[in-house]
Amino acid sequence: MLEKKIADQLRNHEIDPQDAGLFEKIMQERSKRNSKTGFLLIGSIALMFTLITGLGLSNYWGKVPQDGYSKEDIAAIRKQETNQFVENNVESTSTQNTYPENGKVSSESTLAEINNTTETAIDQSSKNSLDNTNLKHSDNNGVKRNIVPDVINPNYKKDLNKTPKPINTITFVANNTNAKPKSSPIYTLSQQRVLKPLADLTLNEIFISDPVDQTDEPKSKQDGEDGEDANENKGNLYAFWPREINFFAGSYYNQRFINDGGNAIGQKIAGLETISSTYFIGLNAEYRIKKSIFGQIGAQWLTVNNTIHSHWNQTVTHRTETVVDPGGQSYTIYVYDTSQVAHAGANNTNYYFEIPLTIGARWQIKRHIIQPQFGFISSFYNNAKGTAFNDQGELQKLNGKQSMFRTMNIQAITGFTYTYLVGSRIGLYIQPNLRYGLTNQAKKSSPYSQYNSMVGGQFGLKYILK
Amino acid sequence: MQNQITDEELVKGCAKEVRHFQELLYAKYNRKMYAVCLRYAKDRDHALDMLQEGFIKVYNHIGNFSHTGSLEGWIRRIMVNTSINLLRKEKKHLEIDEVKGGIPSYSSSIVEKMSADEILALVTLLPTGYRTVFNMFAIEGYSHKEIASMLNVAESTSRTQYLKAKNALKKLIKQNNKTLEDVRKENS
Repeated sequence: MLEKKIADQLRNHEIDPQDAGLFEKIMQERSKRNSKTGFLLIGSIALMFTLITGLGLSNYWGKVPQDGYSKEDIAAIRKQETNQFVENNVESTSTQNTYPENGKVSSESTLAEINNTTETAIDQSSKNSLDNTNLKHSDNNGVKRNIVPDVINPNYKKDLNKTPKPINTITFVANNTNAKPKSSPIYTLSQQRVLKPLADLTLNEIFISDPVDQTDEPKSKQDGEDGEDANENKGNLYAFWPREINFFAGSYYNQRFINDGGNAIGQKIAGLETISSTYFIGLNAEYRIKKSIFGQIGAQWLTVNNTIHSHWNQTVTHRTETVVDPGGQSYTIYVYDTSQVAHAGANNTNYYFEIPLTIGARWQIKRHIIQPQFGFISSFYNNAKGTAFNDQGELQKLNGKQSMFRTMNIQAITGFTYTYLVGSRIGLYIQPNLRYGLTNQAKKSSPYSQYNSMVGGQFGLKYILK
Repeated sequence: MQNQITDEELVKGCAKEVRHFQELLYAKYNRKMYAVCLRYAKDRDHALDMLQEGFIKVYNHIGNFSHTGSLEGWIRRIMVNTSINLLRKEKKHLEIDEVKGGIPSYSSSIVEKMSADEILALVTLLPTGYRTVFNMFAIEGYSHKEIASMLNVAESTSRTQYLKAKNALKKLIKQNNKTLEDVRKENS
């Protein structure tokens, strides 16, 4: 039986792999993979959470606008207003009556009607007694209707007293009704806001209007579907200002993965040098891309402390020269003193300037804000001090940067932020996060490659600008 | 010290990620497992890759070892699976090279005279598909049903591969016998 004989010979056969560093390679490869797996797992979860939360919140806000009107409310209001508008057109002889209740105009209204309505409402309110909050107007049919009660609120009067506004400035409000076709089947949030009573407009909203821009051309693309945001983008001078500023500080447990590729210098550094501490401080600006989606860009300063903790011996030879002159003849005597110098370790500190750019979802319930996020950090190697290994694996005093490190590297970051609002504009937050080096930190010429992985977090102060 | 440590202690130590025990495990089994990998690999470097991948899996999953069989058997199984997976990735394991010619007659005493290294060298010369099935069936002791499942082929394919592998090996033994005899004479 051929196979049996061969099996007997080979079953317990042993061969030395003759690769002394294989065990170390296995350990390093394993650590690297486990770290990558962890990062990808957490990153994927954060990404999924971000997307799902973002989509969910977008959907939620789409259905229930901020001013409290649900789809059902809008439908009911529309029905009521449509009936009223038809009734007015048929029966009314006075344009003063065409401004409907609740400051809403049916979607069938023409631009002219809306302009007319708006101007008439203001004009009327200016002419009439502004103090009479119960003012009612009877149309020709004797039907009593509210004449824009919101207009007669005390704030409006106050504003008017302070700053007289020309009527054509206010007509900007009607311009935005072009955002939707006249046959739009339902009010959008945009239209609701546009058509809200003028007295509810803030001074900012009034003065940023462009009275020149009163063409009849549709601008649906400009104003878009997003209503409030679209308005802000169009006219608000502060649209590109961040919503929030975050100030933070934190620290990391920093793990370094050196792939020495069997190189003795790399092995030496991997074996002798460890990262002892990493901490950072910085700030970032938070922008709102949509209601529930935000982006952050910032600046931070990162400090990484390394410790060369092991002891090793180095042979050092000193030569001493002594000149003797016993009898007119000079002799030079060289004394060699060879000794073992024990190195007791050293420290070095590396400084980085970093620009984190992240995106995420924002979810606020009363005073609590949750923000899962992910992104990238551009890390710029800035400075270094202390003693570190050079390209030849020898210790040397640092003056500036370590010669083996690249000037820039990219890292991925993922995490989530929990904020507690202690005031209307101030919040305190904590953000556990995970960073992973995507690019090699060591230069191409370096005898090894290095990727860092950091687990840690930051504490911060959130200041809400608007 | 090393001899006093049982497999059970090794498993516990490795499961706790104690580096000392991981080193001991490696020291105890790396030679045997390298020989296993060499039988499946096309060359030494390939075998080292298999060995590295195999040990990574061993360390990652050693906490799942149930102690129902021997530790060596469990590690060997991981090495074989890892080797097959690597071959599958390279899409070479089922490439069948026909070895033409009839089945040569050979004396079983020839094999008995051959060393393990010499036999291994001949097994390595087999085409990848033959070698894989031959190793799994004749040496590791898998059934054709298991082999078919692991290689994702029909059971009949595994049987055919094995028969062809055996014939090819007989031919190689016959062809190389004279050369080996010459080498032995020179060495002696």
